[in-house]
Amino acid sequence: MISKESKILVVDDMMTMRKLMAKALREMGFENIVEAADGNLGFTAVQEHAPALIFCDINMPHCNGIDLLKRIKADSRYRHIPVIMVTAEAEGAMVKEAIQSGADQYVIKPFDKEILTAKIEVVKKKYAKAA
Amino acid sequence: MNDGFLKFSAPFIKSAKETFKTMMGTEITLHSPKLKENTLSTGDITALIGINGNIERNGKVDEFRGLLALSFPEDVYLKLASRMLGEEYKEYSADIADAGAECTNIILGTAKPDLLKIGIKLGLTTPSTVRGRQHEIQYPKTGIIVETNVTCDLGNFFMDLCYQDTNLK
Repeated sequence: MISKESKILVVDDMMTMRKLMAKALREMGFENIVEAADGNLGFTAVQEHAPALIFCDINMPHCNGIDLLKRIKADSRYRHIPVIMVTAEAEGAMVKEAIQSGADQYVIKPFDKEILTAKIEVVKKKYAKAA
Repeated sequence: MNDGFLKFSAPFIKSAKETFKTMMGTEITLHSPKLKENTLSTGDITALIGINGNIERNGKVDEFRGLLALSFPEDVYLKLASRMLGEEYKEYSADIADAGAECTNIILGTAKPDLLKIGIKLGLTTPSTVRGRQHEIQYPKTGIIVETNVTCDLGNFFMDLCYQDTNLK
């Protein structure tokens, strides 16, 4: 269940995007934000922090967002964690692969707080129904 | 400017306007595109991203190489990063080093569907940033470089588009 006290993990190789996403989430009332700069560090953060929600960029060096998503969804300890993919790719191929790999939602950059709020609400409803 | 440049630049202009409006809350205006005869930056900080992929013409697929560069005077870059992140930056630091690069990433990503309509299919590329007065920009060697002055309430900067002059759809 996602609440204002929940830990949210933001995975993006660009520091600016991590700061921007964390700022938007704080303005929405989420205070427990954890950041990671690539997919490998993201998986370590999942293990250490057990976040309630993950925002994950798709295009990252080393271990990209799709690889991280697959690792999370293949692991019975973490597959229940909702993952919202973030991408600048407005064309469908990457988004399609993310959804096929188990992503719960996706956000296309540029985004604003209203978009993030709407995506979180959709994920909350989906998981509330499943509970 | 020729028809090829007008077709190629239109998706970038549209997505740059959308990106700056959403991320920085500013309206940009582009003025007087002109051919650039050298490879030196006009601004102090330049964010770059390759426009790399394939182009389909008359049923034939060829490699396509290009580059998008946003080159900012340092004071304009600091204002852009401050507006984007909602906190004031008075000097350049690692905290804001990739702000411009992320802008190029978003502009290119948003332009991709429209580029596909003119036959250009792009792969994934990673943006980068170069800093220093009149630094060298590594444009693709066979490309035509068009530099456009951009104005907005943050100040003036330049958008360079390097592309292969080819028969676009």
